[in-house]
Amino acid sequence: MSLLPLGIIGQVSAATSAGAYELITTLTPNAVSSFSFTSIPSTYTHLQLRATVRGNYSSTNMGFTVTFNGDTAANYSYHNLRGANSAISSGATASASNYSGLSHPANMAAANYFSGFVWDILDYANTNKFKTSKIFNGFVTASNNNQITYDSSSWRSTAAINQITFNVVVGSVVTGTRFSLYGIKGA
Amino acid sequence: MPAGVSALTPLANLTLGSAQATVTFSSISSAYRDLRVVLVAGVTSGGAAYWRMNNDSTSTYLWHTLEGNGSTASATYNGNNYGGMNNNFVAWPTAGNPPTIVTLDVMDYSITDKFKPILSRTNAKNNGTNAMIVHWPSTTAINTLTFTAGGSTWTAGSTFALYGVSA
Repeated sequence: MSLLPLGIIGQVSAATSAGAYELITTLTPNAVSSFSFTSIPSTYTHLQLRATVRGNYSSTNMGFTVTFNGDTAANYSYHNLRGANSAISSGATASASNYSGLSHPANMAAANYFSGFVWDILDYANTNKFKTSKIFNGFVTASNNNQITYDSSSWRSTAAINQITFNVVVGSVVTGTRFSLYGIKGA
Repeated sequence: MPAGVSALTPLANLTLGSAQATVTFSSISSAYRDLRVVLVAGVTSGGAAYWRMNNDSTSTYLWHTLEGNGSTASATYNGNNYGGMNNNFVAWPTAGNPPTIVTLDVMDYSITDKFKPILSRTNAKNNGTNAMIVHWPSTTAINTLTFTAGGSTWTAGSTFALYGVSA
């Protein structure tokens, strides 16, 4: 057995030197149905969003729609690989007015369960290409209420992303929900 | 946290000099919001590798997987996993195969208002690829992570790295 008291063996590597992966801001929305990251600086290469979520919708799970820069035109496409209990499926949506694919525990799920998700938005500030991202999202609360999803999505715009808006489909998010946005620098 | 300060802090990094059955990160500071664990590890023989939070060997760990083994894609729920997350890294490679790569995102590990969701990704060269969501049903802050090569040992050269993510 190896016991590792932290701080004794911890080492700083060049790959994670100060400022390569920076927190932009953390939101802790509560009892709201819409919230946004605004004025996102364009000084990074990629964005990463890390979150834990639960809603108050009177069901076992809930979802969001997401837009970039307030764009509600038919510029979003996404594709997913999803598991729910023993069912596995894949789906795609083209030319949607938002991204919609995330799922989280809601009011009828067992207490204290929140989803986890990590969303990587690549080259978000690059004005020479459309924006692509990948999302890993999931929760498990009971035998009949669990989902795990891998999504890829695109926003067909060359504009730098400076705003990300989440709209709860039904209800609102509850206390304990947390969204942290990070910027990842290039070389 | 001011701009220009890294939000990703290396906390520990271990390369095994010889085979051993268990690796433990202990006394994990609660100063961060998430943990990220990166394993590149093999086992010396077949076995049910597992990991535990805070040495909890009695709680029911819930997990749900999405995986492919080279011929079949499947999803599986398991709510009867008492005492640790066993069999959850797909299957470990047999001796002589490349090590398995595992990344764990332990969300809100230091927050005491919720059970802990953990996102896991595993790639095993000879066994497949796996994505998994895990819930450890406790509101207690996580201060210890233990990785055990059940019935086997981790191979020499296996690496275990732990990072703290600030928020």
